[in-house]
Amino acid sequence: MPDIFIENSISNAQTGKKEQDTGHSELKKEGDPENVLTLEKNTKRHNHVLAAYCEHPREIAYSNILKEEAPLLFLRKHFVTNLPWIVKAVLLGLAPFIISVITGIFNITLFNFLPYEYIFLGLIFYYFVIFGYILVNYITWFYNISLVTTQRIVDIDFSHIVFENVSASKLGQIEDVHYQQVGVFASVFDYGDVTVQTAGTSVLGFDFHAAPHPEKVVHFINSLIGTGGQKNG
Amino acid sequence: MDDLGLMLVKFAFLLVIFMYVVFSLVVLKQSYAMKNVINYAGLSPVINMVAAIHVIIGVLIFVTALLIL
Repeated sequence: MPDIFIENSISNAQTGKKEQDTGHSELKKEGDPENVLTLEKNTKRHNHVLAAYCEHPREIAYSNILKEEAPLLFLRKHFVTNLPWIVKAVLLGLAPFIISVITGIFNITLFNFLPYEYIFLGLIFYYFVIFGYILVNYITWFYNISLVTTQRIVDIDFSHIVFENVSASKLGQIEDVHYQQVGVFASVFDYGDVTVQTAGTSVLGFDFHAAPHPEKVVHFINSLIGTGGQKNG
Repeated sequence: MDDLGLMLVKFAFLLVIFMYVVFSLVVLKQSYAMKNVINYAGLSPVINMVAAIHVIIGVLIFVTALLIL
């Protein structure tokens, strides 16, 4: 009889271990070469100019990275969110041609009071400003990054060129993660706002705006919180 | 347009270009600053280079405006 109980307790312990493993398999088995290979096959490593979602990114250098800290998830706004300024830039680029066609049809003269060189330089400057507009918007999108590492969650906000805010919080401080997907575009292109609520007074929470695959992001962070809790406990 | 009007247009034009070149320098500076914070897939130097080209073109337009107008 006692043997049966011993057997049961062993089997229960094994089952419990199995449950834990299945719950956080990605992290717990990371050291195992076979599992690393499987993980690499399943993860998305889009290290290109327009990448917005990347699990286990390799080519990323964050200046404030801690010792033995590795990035697990890289996020940016979905590229579709850039469409408004791209459309504006294209329309602005086409505007002089459209205006010249319209003035040609209706025989209207707009800048005849100015010498030719003024119009020429003005047009060059106009396209130069459009180039600057594209550059500023691209840089703003490019450097608005959120990172989930093995130890922390990092949010780098960069907007209007002169606003720069870098905030980080330990994974253990995360209390709740949720997302909301609002709008047709968000549903079609699968992006949404992920909110990470943290404990403490300095940083109340993190908002990953228009993050691609928000459900996956929430699942990813939730699995990390679970592991962090076990480690701490 | 008379000479005074043309001079005013020229002055305004040069001022606008100058101010834009200053703005492009701020963009370049910020681009370099952000590269020091994070560098993703080695693309930050490329963006810095584009920002530098932006400044160079701005300076060239300003100099051309000074010479031609």
